[in-house]
Amino acid sequence: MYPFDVAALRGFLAARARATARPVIVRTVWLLGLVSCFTDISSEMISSILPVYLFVHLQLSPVQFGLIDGLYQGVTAVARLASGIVADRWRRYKLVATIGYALSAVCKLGLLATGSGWSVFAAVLSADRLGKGIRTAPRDALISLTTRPQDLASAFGVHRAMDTVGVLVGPLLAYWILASMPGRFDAIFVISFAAALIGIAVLVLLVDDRRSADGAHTTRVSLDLPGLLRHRRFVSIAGVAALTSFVVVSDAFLYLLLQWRRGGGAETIPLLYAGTAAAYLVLAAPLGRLADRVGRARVFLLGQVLMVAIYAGIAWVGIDLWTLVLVLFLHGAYYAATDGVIAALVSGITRSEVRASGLAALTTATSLARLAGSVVVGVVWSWRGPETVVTVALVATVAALIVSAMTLKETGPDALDADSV
Amino acid sequence: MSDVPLSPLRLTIFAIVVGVIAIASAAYLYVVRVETPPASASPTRLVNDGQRQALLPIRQQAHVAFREMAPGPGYGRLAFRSLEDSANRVTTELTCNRVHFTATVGLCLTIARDPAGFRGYLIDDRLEVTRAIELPGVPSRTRISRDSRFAAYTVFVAGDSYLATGLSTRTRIVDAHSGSMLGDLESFAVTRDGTVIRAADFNFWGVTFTRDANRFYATLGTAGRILLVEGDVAARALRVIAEDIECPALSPDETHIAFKKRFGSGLDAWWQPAVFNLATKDVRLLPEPKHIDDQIEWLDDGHILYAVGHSVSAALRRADVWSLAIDGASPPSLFIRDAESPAVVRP
Repeated sequence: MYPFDVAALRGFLAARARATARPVIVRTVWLLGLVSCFTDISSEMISSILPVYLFVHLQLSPVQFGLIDGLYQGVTAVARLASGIVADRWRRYKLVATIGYALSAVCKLGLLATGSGWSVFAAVLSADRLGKGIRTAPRDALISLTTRPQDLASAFGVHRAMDTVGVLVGPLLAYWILASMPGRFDAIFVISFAAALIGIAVLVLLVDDRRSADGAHTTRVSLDLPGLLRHRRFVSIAGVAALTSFVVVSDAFLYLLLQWRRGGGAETIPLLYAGTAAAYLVLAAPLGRLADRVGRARVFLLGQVLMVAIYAGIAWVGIDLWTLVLVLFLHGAYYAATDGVIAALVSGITRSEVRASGLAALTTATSLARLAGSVVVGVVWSWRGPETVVTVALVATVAALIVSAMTLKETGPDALDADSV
Repeated sequence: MSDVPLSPLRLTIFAIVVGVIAIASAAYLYVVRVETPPASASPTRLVNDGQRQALLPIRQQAHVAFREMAPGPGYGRLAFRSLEDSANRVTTELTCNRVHFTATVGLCLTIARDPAGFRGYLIDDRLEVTRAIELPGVPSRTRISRDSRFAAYTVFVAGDSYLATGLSTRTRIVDAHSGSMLGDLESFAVTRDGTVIRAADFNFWGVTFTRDANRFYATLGTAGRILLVEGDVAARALRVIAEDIECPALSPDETHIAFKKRFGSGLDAWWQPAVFNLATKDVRLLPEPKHIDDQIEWLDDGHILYAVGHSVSAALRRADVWSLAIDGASPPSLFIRDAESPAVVRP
């Protein structure tokens, strides 16, 4: 039965796609979106109540908290690269991603056993981050390898939107448990673990591995990460992405700048995060689709323009409630125009054999650049105060926009051929 | 690129797995819900008539306000106990994470619901909630000045630091009656040896007021160092006066500052109570082997109180309040079983 159905379906889908030019979002993308949604419910449940757990319940001292941070950043950078390379070598994207998801899920249970010791806690949180580092590149590779080259940005947009649903739902769920069952953090950890398990169930039981969809490709991969790093277009795009991450101040600092301009308190920090996430949720899919239509590089540059507009607004326009809402909307739009779009850009120019490595190298570069950028912002803030931070950020984003526009123009129009490296 | 339909077998297995996970987690939530008394829904009624009657004699004499930690329906709620008679103990209806009281004013910091948020409730001498203050983060410390004019609170704010996952504190001083903000310590000018210092990583916590309330002490944390600052609310100024004195508590006679002294570093650090003599600048370490991480409260000029947590797990947190003489000659003794966040009130 199946071969006939498949052929008919394929013909129908192709005809429909040609007729309407609608992006084809394959089931794998929807399912991976669902996996990310549940995983983000799980992880955001924990991160939103973590301060309460650590400092109210366990009564640990905040002085020790900063130490864990540095630990994870290094660990994830290495894990990201390694998982991308391993996934490409074995061509086992689903397996490697599953290992990452499973590691993070187990950590939610591990939290139950943390008691009042920092060391165990640090180990559990690091393992959780490690899991995140492992799963990202193979998952994005799976999205890109199952999607038609012309629909890549649309597919990443859909995935990122579903992911953001989890970001919004998780904290609400955790807070509801916290408020209705005071002091019972075990309930939060168990529900978080259950959400993570559902995500893994979707991945393991419903998502097709790339190997079965692709037919048996057992050819030895000759082009590996070093080759990729010698490839000019890849380096240009990853470089532009890293430059952007470096000059754009982190969410936390942007919110501090907004509060500084409003002269108000920090009451609204969780609301600011929610505002950005809501705009990102709404805009991720449409901007992804726009990127597929008018060019991914153009939409990426649009994202940078939005960031310039935000800093200009903070510098010259008073921040009242409505401009604040506008800024958060633009901030969400910036993410929608860049995060999935850059993954699509990189996917579009890397051969399928090195797709996971390419995406891993991209996210490693951007996350390290973001970290470096945050340190610079911290130094500037201490040294000259927030006014200078805004001026520096404005000048830097304008410069980054010009450099990006020139670099991306040089790399030519978006490659639609998936095997173009 | 097009989708092959999922096999019914896979879908069935998936449905069973998700069903089992959903039922198991719902069952867990149900059990927890039955076991755990709900937090007070809204603070419209802090005490019922019976509690009000029982509290009258307690509140007329020296007493302690604290957070009830005995497992049961009163867990986590504001409670009062006579200083002399340990059996004379009344638990109210209001859930608080941190409390501080004088004879006429109280501040309860809590994780509230309806609407959900971190909130501080100002309580008057008739034990009615007069004001609700929206808190910018997780409750940590609170103190009210001895003259009941000012209240201070410290909360943890996540994601306020330059590493997105970092954590910072926010400390504010408010009018203890109207709740209006008198100052956020981050907006105060800080000087050290006459020179103005500032940094993005400045964190303030643990205010303790002097008798005239305008002057106070607090902790400034920056670049991994812990500094003791002396502040002036009206002048909006802070001055660094000592190092390594964290979370100060000024004695009633204003001669000593009790604090927690940090030992070790990194993840293995621990804290021990100590007193700093303001006149001689001497630090005396007190004999308390248990780990403490609380702002100390003074019982009288010679004794301090602090909470020590025990049996702490994800599902449970218990704590007792201990007392300790500042002469360092005698070991700590149990002061209130199943309590934390003590505030000594002498009307």
